[in-house]
Amino acid sequence: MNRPPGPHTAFDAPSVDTVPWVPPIADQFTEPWWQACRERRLLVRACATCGRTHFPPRPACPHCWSDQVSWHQVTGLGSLYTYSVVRENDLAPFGASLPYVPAIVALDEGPRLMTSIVDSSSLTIAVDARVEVVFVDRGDWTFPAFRIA
Amino acid sequence: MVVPRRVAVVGAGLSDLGRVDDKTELQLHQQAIRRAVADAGLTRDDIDGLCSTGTGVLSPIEVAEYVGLSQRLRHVESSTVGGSTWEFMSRHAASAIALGLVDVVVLSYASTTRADLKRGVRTSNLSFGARDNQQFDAPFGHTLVSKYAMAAQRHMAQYGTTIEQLAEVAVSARANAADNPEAYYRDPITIDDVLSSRPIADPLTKLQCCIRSDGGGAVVLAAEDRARDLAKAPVWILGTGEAVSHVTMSEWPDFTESPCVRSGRDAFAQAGVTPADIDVCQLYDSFTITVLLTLEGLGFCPPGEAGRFVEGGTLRIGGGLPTNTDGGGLSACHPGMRGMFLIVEAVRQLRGESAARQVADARLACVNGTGGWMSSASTMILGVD
Ligand SMILES: [Zn+2]
Repeated sequence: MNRPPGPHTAFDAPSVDTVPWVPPIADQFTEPWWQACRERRLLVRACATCGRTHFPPRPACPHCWSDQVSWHQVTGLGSLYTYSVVRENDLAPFGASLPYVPAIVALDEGPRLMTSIVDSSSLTIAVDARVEVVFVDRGDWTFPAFRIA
Repeated sequence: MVVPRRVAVVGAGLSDLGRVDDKTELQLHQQAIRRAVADAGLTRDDIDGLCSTGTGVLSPIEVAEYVGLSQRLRHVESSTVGGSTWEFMSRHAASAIALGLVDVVVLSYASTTRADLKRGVRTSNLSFGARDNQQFDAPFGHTLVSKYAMAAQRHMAQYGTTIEQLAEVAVSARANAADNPEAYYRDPITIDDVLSSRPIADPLTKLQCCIRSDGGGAVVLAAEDRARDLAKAPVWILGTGEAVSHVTMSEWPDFTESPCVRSGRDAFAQAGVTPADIDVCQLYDSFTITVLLTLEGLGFCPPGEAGRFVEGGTLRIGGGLPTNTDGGGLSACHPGMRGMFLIVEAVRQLRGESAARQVADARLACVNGTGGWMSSASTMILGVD
C-alpha cells in the first residue's frame, strides 16, 4: 500500500472503478430513489405545502410536517461543501482503497448529501468547488459520486 | 410548590487508568463508584440514584446490579448521546435532586477500549449500519476521524484557520499532561511533531486525534442539605444546558457550529455568569477541531476566531484560559468516551487538589461534553463558595 507521507501531498481521487462503497439497507419507501439512480436520475423530496426540498428522503416533510411531498429530480450540479481525505480505515473494503475522498455536496436545489469524490486530482479538490454527479454501477446497485466540474 | 434545592458534586473518583489488562469494564465501574462515594464521605446506603452506560443489554441495570444497588434506586438513567452523556446525565440528575425526587445520585463510566483493541475483540473503526438515513451516509465509508476532519476542512476554508493553529491544541494538551502523573502521554511535543505524525484523515494527523486508553470514573451528586457536611467542599452545579444536532452528516446545518451554541447559552444564563468569568475549562477534545468549535460555540471567542485564540499557549496552565488541565483526551485519558473525566478534572481543580497542574484561584469552571460527531453537546458551569 502506498501511503502519502503527509496531508498536503497531491494524489488522484479514486476512479469510478475503484471508489470504495458498501451496499445500503434500502427499504420499501427509499427503493424508488435507488431505482432512479440506476436510471441516471438523482432525486430529492419536494414539499408542495412549504415549497422546501429535503434529503435524506422522508414520507412527510421534516420542515412543516406536511405529507404533500413527492420525488423531485435535480440537476446533479452543486458545490463541494466540505470533504476529507481518508488515509486510514481498517474496515473492509475501505482499507484496500486508500486514499479516498468522502465529501458533502450542496446541491444547487438545496439539500446536501454525503458522497465520494471520483476522477479528480487533489489539486482541483477544494471547498466550494463546482461538482457534478457521476453515477457509479456496483453490482445490483448504482450510487451517486461526484467529480470536480 | 416545591422549592428547588441547590445541587453539588460531592464526590469524584477514577478507576485504574491507562493500560488495564486485568479488569473488565464492570469491575472498573465498581472500583470507580466505590472510590467516588468514599471521596464524598458517603456509603452505599446513601445512594438512591444511578446514571450509567453499561456494556451490554439493559444498561444501566447491569451496573446497578453489579454494585449491588438495583433494589434501592429511585432515579435511573442511561442516555446514549455519545461522549457528552455524563454532562446530560448531570443535568437530569441535578434537576431530579433539586425537585426532591432523589437525594444522592452516582454517575459512572468505564471502558477497556485499549485492551479490547489489543486483544482484537473490536476494530479500530466502528461500523454503524446502513439503514434509514444511514443508507445514504454510511456506504461511503467516512470514518469518525474524517467526519471531524470535514469540519476542520470547512473551518479552514471559511475562516482561514491554519493547520498550525489546530496543532497548537494538541501541543497545549501535551504541555498540560506533563504535570499530570496519571496522564497516558507526558513527553512534550511540537507543532512540527503534530503535523508530521501519521495522516489519518486530512487535515487531521495522528496527534490531533484522541488517544485510546482504558479506565473509568464516577461522580456523586447530592442536594445542598447533604452536601454541606460531607468530606469535601461542595462543587456547586450553577448552570447546565443540553442540545443535539445530527446523526446523518448531511443534516448538520453548519459544519463550523457546535450544538454547544445552544447548551452553553442555557448554562451560562442559568448560572448568571459569562465566559469572561471562567477560570478553568474542560472541553471535550476528541480531535483538535472539536476544541476550536467549542471555544467559539460557548462564546470564549467570536465565530472563526478560535484558531487565533489558542495561539501562544492560551489553553495551557498559566495561559489565559487553562483548558483540559489533565492533558485532555488528546494526551491524558480517553477510554472510548471522555465526558465523565471532564467532570472529575473540573471538580479536582475547583477543590484545589491538582498539585503541579493546579490552576491558581480556580473558583469557576466550564465543562462541555461533545458526543458522536458533533451530534450532541452539554455544558455545565461549576463553582465553589
Ligand atoms: Zn414542507
